[in-house]
Amino acid sequence: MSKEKICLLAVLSLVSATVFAVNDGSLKFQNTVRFGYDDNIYQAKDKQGSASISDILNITGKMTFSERSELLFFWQPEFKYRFDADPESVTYQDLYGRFSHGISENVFFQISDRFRYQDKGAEAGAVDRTDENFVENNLVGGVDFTLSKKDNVKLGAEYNFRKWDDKNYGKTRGNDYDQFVGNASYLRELKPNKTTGLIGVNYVDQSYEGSRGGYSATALYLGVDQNFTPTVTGNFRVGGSYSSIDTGTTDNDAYAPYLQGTLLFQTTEDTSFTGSIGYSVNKSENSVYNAQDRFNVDFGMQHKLTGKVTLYSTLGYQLGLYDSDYKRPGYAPAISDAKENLIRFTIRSSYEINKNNFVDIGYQYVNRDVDVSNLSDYDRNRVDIGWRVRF
Amino acid sequence: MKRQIKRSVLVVLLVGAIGFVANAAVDTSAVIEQMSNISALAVQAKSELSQAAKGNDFQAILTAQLHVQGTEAALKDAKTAFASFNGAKTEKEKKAAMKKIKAAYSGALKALRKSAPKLAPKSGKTGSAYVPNVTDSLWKSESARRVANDRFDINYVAGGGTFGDRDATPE
Repeated sequence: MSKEKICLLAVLSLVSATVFAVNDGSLKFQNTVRFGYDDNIYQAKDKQGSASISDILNITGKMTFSERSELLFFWQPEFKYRFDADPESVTYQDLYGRFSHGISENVFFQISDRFRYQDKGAEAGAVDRTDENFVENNLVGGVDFTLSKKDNVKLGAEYNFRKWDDKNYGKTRGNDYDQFVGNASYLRELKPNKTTGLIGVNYVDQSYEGSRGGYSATALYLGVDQNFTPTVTGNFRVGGSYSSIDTGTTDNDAYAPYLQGTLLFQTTEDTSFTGSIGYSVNKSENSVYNAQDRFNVDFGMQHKLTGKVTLYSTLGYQLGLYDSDYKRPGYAPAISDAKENLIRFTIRSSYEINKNNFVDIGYQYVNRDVDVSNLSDYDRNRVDIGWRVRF
Repeated sequence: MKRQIKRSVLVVLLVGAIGFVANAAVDTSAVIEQMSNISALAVQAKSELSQAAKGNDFQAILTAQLHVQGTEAALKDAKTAFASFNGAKTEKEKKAAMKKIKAAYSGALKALRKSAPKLAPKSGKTGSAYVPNVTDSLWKSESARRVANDRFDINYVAGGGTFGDRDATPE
């Protein structure tokens, strides 16, 4: 049985095996029909636009077995038809299950699995995309030990993979990958309901298919969770990441700072802002390099204009730094140390017709500026209007 | 001699009476002090609950609720015992009432030391009720999870997610 089928079964097992013991539960449905226009459907320098219609279904179920056990499941299929594209039809599937259980008053356990599937055939045009179908799975487990009123230890592990249907792209060119993540942290409450300090270690091991190599990185960090006021919360992690990049022929050691910071600011009941900043070693999202040093910063805002109209907006920037030591074998890009700049701005407004019906209107702008010859610069504008019903 | 005996008896009676009155006075003030201590603990618990509610920490709210329930129950017991104390006709009844007030005070202190049994990490506010935060991990700190869930709400609804989270493209 293939790994994908095993993971799909794992999600379904999480959902179905425990259904019989349900004490209490709820089921939510939401369906969105969207009409949209995308001026750069292939995300290429030479733009080609298309209108589209899509249907997104959300089914979320929550089942409580006892005061200490809960299962959450979520299924989101999205069907999109693009009038002037090849292929015209695209399907995205998200299947997610999460089981949380309090083993005792001091030991808590959670396991979740997310299975994603993209069904998108070969694209026409100048880009080399023979088949864009893939499956991706994230299996995440964690245990929380409460040592005392002030002390906690948390342990976690993840196993992630992505497999492309196109064997040439996935296996031969080494773009299928497996990733293992391990995390351990010790947390101590320094000021009740105010400040928590922590020390943690995070290990990532990523290997691409075949002889492409991969990378492993160990980050050691100190952190603080701070409730500045009842409405302002911040999480900060600072440390260093020691990595070894396997380029298929050599292992290159590298050091990078490890920085994560998030801030949540709820000014009023109707308005909240979020911000985050980060710097760490990450997996590469292309065929040319095996890893990247990634800097990202983003802002988000949610504001209820009136009782019925809500506005959401995000602005994000991501800088991918591709060192020549991160290069995979068999590729010789013109620039050894490359940069990839991504900017994204989104604004969306939602109008509540009544308790169950909403009209959404949205706009998104994405810009990519990359100095690797194999990769494409582009900018993309998308607009959509949709009707959302939920019950 | 007779007069001396009388005087001695009088002194003894006087000292005894003073002692009795003094003893009774100490008991009353001690009772009032205990009552005021229990009331203070009940107020403290309510204040803790109010703070926890502002902090949006469900576990802290549960613990604070437990403290309020415990101290309120202790205060109720103490009030009943105090009424008995005031209505007591014998020293024995007063002592019994005092004992109950002391027990109520200990009970209130004990209630404040309790922590609510930690619930299984519920999905709670993980994204909206219609779209949960599928990136949630127990190994992140509670605070980081809460912030991440709020961010997921905004980012998802705004149509974002993270870069490359949707529409992965081979390159």
